[in-house]
Amino acid sequence: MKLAALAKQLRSVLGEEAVLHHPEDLMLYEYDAGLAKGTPELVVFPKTTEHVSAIVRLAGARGVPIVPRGAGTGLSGGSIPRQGGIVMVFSRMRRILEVDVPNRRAVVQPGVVNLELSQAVARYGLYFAPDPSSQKASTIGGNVAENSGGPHTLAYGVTVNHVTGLEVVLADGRAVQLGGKAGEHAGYDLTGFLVGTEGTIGIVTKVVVKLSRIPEQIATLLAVFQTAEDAANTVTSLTAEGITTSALEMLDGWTLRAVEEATHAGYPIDSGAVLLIELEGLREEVEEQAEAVARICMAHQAREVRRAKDERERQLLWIGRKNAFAAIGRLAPSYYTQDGVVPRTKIADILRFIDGVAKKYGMTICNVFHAGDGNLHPAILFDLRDAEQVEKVHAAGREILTRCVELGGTLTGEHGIGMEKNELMPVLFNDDDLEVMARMRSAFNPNELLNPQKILPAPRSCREGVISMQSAAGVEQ
Amino acid sequence: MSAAPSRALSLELAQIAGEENVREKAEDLRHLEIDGVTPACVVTPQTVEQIAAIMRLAFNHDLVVVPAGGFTQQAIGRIPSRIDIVLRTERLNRVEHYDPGDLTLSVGAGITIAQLRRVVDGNRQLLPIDPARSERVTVGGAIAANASGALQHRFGSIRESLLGVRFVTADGRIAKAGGRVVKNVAGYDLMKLMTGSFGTLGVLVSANLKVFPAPHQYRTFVTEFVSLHQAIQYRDRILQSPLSPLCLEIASPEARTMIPDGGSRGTWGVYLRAAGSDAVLARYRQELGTDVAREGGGADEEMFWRTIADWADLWAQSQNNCALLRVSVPSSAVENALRSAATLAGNTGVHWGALGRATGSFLIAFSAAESVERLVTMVNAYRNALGCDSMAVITHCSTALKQHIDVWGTTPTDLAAMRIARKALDRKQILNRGRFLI
Repeated sequence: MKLAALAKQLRSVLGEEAVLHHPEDLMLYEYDAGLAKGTPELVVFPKTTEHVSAIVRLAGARGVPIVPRGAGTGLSGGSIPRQGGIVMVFSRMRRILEVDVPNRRAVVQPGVVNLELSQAVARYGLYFAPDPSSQKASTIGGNVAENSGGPHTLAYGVTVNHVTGLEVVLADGRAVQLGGKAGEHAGYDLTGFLVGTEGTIGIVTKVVVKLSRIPEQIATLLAVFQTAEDAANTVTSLTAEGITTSALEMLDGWTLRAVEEATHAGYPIDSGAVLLIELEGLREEVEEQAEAVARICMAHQAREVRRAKDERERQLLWIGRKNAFAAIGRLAPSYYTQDGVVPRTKIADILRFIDGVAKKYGMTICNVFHAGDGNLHPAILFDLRDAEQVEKVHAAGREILTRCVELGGTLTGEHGIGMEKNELMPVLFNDDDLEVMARMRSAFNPNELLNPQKILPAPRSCREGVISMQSAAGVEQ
Repeated sequence: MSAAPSRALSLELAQIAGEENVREKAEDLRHLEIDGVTPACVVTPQTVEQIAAIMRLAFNHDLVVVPAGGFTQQAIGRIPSRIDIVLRTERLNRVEHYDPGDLTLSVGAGITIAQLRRVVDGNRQLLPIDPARSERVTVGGAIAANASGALQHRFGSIRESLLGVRFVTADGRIAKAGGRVVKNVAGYDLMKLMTGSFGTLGVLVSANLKVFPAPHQYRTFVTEFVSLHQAIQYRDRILQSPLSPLCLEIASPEARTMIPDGGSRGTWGVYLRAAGSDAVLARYRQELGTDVAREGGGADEEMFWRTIADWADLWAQSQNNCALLRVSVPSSAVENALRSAATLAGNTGVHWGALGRATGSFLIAFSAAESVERLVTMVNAYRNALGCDSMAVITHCSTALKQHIDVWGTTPTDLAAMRIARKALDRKQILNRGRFLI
């Protein structure tokens, strides 16, 4: 084993069982929920901030890279090691350290599972707003690293809008505090900057999160359309008319047939698209808005607008949505999901474009996405074993994302850049933009040992080399 | 104290921005003095490229640059030792992109908040940023100073509305981060870093912002209490109710004397602003109950909120020798923070007032006619009472006071980590040198 001496040192700090090195153990940490793969040389399980500091110092002294990992539910390879080294797993740091009900804050360790936090504070009428579809497994640390979103981020924002303080271990092993419980602090908002940096600036060891109040009333509506175009135009009208939905999700015909088969959520399988619309707030507001939503949907040729009668029906509609990708998984051996964003006035345009791309490459693309904030998730179906299809998937994906950017949008709304899209960053950012970001990374992560080769593209001189290496492996993205 | 104007510098600046846009005469610079330090010159470029060229010049010659928008926030910061160039961004005042259907817009950093508000008003949309002096404060200035107002209660501070930024680095690169869409996690979030950085990390040149649909009608509910504790109990009742008001402000008895709320002398005020249909407003009345002393709407209500936004300025204009502090504490610490102010002010013989978000971010004013010492004692004692995790930044005071007290106070954020960020983007520290807390 290459890192035998380091492993020995780490065992003396963390304990025998907290350091893995057998290939069969390491294999479990090669993947995330995307298609990327990379094998670590060691997997470590810190229990305290001091452990994290010690690991960073020991690894740093030997020039060994570290990749932090929560539950491995990411979709962009943020937690995949690209250069071997250490994967740091937070499953032993999963305590809720404090729930401060009067201030609506919780202080948690990074390994706390997203949904478990909401469950733990539900008795106070509170919850943690970011709700990625993976929330049953994904960790707060992972959410912070990727700046995760979810269906309800339309009204409540992504993770960064719900974090007021962090404890972070920097590249030199020093643990520092950034922000705290108060809403504002003197000096730079390094907390806000750090969220979404995917472990490339520091390793988060404690998070102060905002908790939100559970609303008085929730209405969940399902609007059924003959065509995806009508559904897309409805989204534009809802936004323009000032309807503030808390979630506004779209599932196209392909998706809802797959979902219906898998979960029997009650989606009409003969329609072109459905919108899943949620309204939250004061009873009076919700009722008024529900009427307005129905009116706008009908004005765009909705076939029907159905409202969940009770919590059971509501949960059923959401189970359908949250399990949509699992259902899509039944349609083909593999699928590749993207995360581009367009302005909400361009949803119909991009759906037409995606349809064209599907036809051009002869592939099926399912659309299930956060329509309310223009965040697409086209899922391209393919067979990972077929090299030609893999190539087509990449080409199709690149075309779609490039088009999103041309329409005024972006490469990723909530999944992160990771190693999946870092070479696409120049589509969105020019050399100066990237140079400034690279300066920030070099300042905090001078030897690039913290999650190397993520977010930013490889320097121009060696970028070509990186791409060809990936293609040879044939399993990227 | 004045820097020696360098003829060569002015000539180079004139070459970049045009002779008519560079001023170096004393009478043109007097109003740009900061804590008694007069800049050597002021330049008002017309394009982003000119700003980049000016920054390259400054970087190469190690010239200290003060970026400035409406010059409304320049009282904030330590006393500068030297200012070579005041760089005005007021000409970058265009609406670069406005997609009302997407509720997003991009504007030059030099547009004022009031101008921008008029643009979005025309589309029945709401700008969620309402700092003081909105006729003069620019978007760039509001971002740099992280200025906010009463709407912060519902919409959060400017960081939550800022979708993208473009800025010029200390060494003259034009860079951007974020984008125009409401959801975006591509690349580092430099918007957060720029917000509240007081121009020490770059010169902001444009910003992309979120706007919201404008409510059809507003109502304001004024409630008054003989004790602070009762006011806080009422606040807690609102926070635990299903109501989600746009604004929820608390005002101390002295602050209320400057607010036209028709209130009784010596009482605490809580101002709640709600929006919605008649049915929604009826629900507010029902929930708030008989505590409400007065209710108002229409143009008067609009004016009322403008006065609240400008309250601290009115205080500063009417009182000699005063210090304004921007305070942020957790919600549960508000009562103690206000009680401590009352007690300490009583002990030191200082006149005081406070107004702002009832949930923890407010402005507090202390005045002590002619006595710098008493103010110094007061501010120090007050900061000690708040504890070091709180924010208590002085946003306005005399230069004499600055000589005795640090305007920034404490922060829980690691200073060394802040220095790393500063060094990464301005290694020579030419932007606002010596004025920031690191």
